[in-house]
Amino acid sequence: MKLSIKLLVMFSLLAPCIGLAVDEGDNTVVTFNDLFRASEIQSIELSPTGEFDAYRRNQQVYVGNSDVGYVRIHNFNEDERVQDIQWIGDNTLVVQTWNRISGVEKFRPSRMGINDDGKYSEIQSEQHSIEGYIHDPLLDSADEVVYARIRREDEYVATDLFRIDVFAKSSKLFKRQLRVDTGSSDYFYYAADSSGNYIAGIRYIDGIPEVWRRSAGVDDWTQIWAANKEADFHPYSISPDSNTLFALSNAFSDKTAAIELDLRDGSLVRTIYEHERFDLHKLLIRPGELAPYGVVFSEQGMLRYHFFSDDAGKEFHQIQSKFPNKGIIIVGRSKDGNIQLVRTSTSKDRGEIQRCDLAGDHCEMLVELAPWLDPETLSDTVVLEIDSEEGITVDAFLTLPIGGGDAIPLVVMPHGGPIGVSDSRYFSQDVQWLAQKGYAVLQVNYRGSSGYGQEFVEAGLREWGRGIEDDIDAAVMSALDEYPQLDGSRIGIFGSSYGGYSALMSVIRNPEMYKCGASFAGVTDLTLLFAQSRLHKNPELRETLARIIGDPDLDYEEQREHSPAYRYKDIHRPILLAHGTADRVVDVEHSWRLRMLMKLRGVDPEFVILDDVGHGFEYIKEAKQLYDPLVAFLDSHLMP
Amino acid sequence: MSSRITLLAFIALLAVPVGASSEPSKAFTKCQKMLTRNAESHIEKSNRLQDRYEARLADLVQSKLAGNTGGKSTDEELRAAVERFKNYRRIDQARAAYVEDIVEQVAQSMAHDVPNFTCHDRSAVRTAYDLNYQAYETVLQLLENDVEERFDLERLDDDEGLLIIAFNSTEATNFVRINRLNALGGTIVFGPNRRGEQFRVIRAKAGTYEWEEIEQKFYNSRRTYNLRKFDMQFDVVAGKLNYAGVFLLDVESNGYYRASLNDRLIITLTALEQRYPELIDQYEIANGLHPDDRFTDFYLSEKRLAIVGVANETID
Repeated sequence: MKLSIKLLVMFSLLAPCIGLAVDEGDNTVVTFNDLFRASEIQSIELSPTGEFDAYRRNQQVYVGNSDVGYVRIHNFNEDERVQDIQWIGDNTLVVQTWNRISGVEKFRPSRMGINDDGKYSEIQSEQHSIEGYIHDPLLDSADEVVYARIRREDEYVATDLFRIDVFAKSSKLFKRQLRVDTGSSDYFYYAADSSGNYIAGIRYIDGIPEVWRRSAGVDDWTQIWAANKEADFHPYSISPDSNTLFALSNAFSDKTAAIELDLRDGSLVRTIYEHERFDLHKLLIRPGELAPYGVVFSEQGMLRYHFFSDDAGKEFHQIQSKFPNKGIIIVGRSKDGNIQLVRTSTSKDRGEIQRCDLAGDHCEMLVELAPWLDPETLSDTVVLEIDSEEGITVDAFLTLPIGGGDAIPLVVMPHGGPIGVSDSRYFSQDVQWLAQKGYAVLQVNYRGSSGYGQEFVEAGLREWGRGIEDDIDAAVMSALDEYPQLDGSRIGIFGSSYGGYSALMSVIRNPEMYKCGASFAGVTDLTLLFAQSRLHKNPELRETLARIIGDPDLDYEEQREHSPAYRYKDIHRPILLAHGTADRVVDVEHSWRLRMLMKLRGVDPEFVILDDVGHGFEYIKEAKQLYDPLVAFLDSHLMP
Repeated sequence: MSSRITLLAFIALLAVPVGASSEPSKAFTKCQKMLTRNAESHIEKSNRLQDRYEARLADLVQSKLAGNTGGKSTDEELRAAVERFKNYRRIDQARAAYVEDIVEQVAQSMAHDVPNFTCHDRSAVRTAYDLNYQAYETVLQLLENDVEERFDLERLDDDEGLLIIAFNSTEATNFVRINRLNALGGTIVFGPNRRGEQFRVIRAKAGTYEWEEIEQKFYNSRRTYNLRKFDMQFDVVAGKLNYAGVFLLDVESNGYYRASLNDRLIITLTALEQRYPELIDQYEIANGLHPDDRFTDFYLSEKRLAIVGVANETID
């Protein structure tokens, strides 16, 4: 059985939500505030000509370049979150926002130019309250885009496509004659032919994708293909002869691969590229072209590019050669490809945004994302590959503290989720903070993690407190084997959300290995996850949860066996329980249950209640409320 | 009440010399007299108020004991319940804040004789005392309500159970309405409610209930929130102490709101043990949120075993 989008949505819910702002002092070499402080510049977008940039600095949006200067076009309050900045023409861009309180999305186009005073500025603007996204920016048509308007029905979500003038009045945006997917039925994705006619649509029925097609100018759609299992199917483009659809999908194999589907009969023409271990994230297609030239995937925690020919990868390798020891991600490019925005980073460096001129063969730094941090004072992360007894290969990432000596205590940090979430090797403030405190940190992409194929995801189902923790234990053993400087007698485990559950279950299962365990927002009672009124209103969500951890009506004993609260008598190591009172994902009751049961034994665990904190942290001071007692707890049990 | 300090102490406080070597100015002396009179008046009024409520609480206990036919609690339990409500309402702290602290603050603000000394406006001082008196009265009134409500639990009809209402809101509300389904009467309305956690036990007719509506004050008008769409129901069983989950309400300033009914049994039992411990001993707990919930039995059973005698453990 395959878990689709709905499963990922559900179980990213059990991953903590992190996103911090605000300042605070500290006295260590690298302060807590230094590590947890967010970059001021969150995103930069290059105009199609490569002449201008648009960027977000905190809650403000600026546009310009170093010659004309930068002008602020938006200054949002804290509740208005910028979702996307996108150029739709050489001088026109759209900022899309989402209000975190009301949930209202706003679409805000701006035309930039020289005003009467001779200054570069915003010369026209508009604002629409609409929900959706730009499907095609139509770069050659200054004010027009193809907009995908989201339509929410009782049982599903669909999108309808309109070719809109972004500066038109809101009431005129979605007139019937502007529809470009006429005759479509509940499709979620679309692809257009070389003339811009939307001739392919994808819809999902119970998680199973179907491809429908029509001839240009005709409203009759015909189903040409359906998967034989739940799967992802993401169309990108259609060949010039309109016969082939290029897409990413895992419908034809275990991994998400790049494929060509014949639009005439729905047959698989070929698999363009499939990685033997990893799911592909993205298909690379140059603006104005139709055929893909490469793919992007995550290999052992870092993004990797693969090109279908040497020539196709020339630009990328030209840029990569300028940053030999860093990972690079292309985050923007001009229409002709001569100017590219590149993000460089390593596991101990948040990195920079570079503007690379390929014709001139040089790059210049636009922004250093954390100029207050010296990477030399931070720790590197290395990869471990573990083959389990069950034939599952698991990646783990080990971060060693600088100057740790030959008996370094280890903190194992399982990620949240657990299904459809994974750790990366990019800069992690949590990992770096523990490393600053003298701990080696081990993260494990155990079975169930995303990015390693569907079989790997499904291997994590109903393995809470079982196979998942076997993988974590195996990773610890492998780390101890390969890195003798780790002190096997001083291992603690800490995690958030599912990671908190995993920490508690690991202490129960393997007290010889783990000397202490700490949980933030952790699950302690599997049956309690079902005891929320929102689940009663949403049978689909309940069913999905039941597939992952079992049904409390049918599998009560199994759930008891794997719930730390019911297993409280088996906890023989010190534990810390921390929980936010405003957590609407894993209720604070979870931590209370385990605490009060342990008190019946005369044991009062470390208990940290964070008032008005949710399932993650919005502000640095909230994170500090967790990390101060956490580090004190770890120190008291793992440090000499 | 033990925290009451004497008027003499206040007069001494107000009379502390501020310029040891100089004679106080006339304005300063006159001002001190006025403040002393006002302080005396505030303290005496507050004492009378306090005595009045103490007498009413004593009457409540006496009448309850005199007419206690079929109530489950003993005299000691009822008196202990009154003390617990005093602690819950922080009566001593309220007395300190609204009576003693305000007198001291007024005195301190006028404690220095400076050139061209000017006294507080008399009406401003009176207003400050009046507002503090009203606040103190409100707290005492809430205490009396708590005690009356608690004593009311002693009279349980055959078709009634005790219902634990636990409610947590991000904003203050005028009232909350819980409707008894398929029945005439039995609607539960409570309020006004402050922001944060509310916890109480009331008598309720047996049946199925639904969280129906909330009203919030919004500037000079009111906002009403429909809760029926969230489909939050629970059951009340006669003769039992009914746990019905914790109602969580997130209200934003623009009127956007979310509501859910979550199972917080342990948090609720912990609050119940602090404020209504005798009820746990007197009544069997029924989980009206999930009748088939087995954690309640598990926890109570483990608790009984622990009380019977399990030695405290140490952990490595």
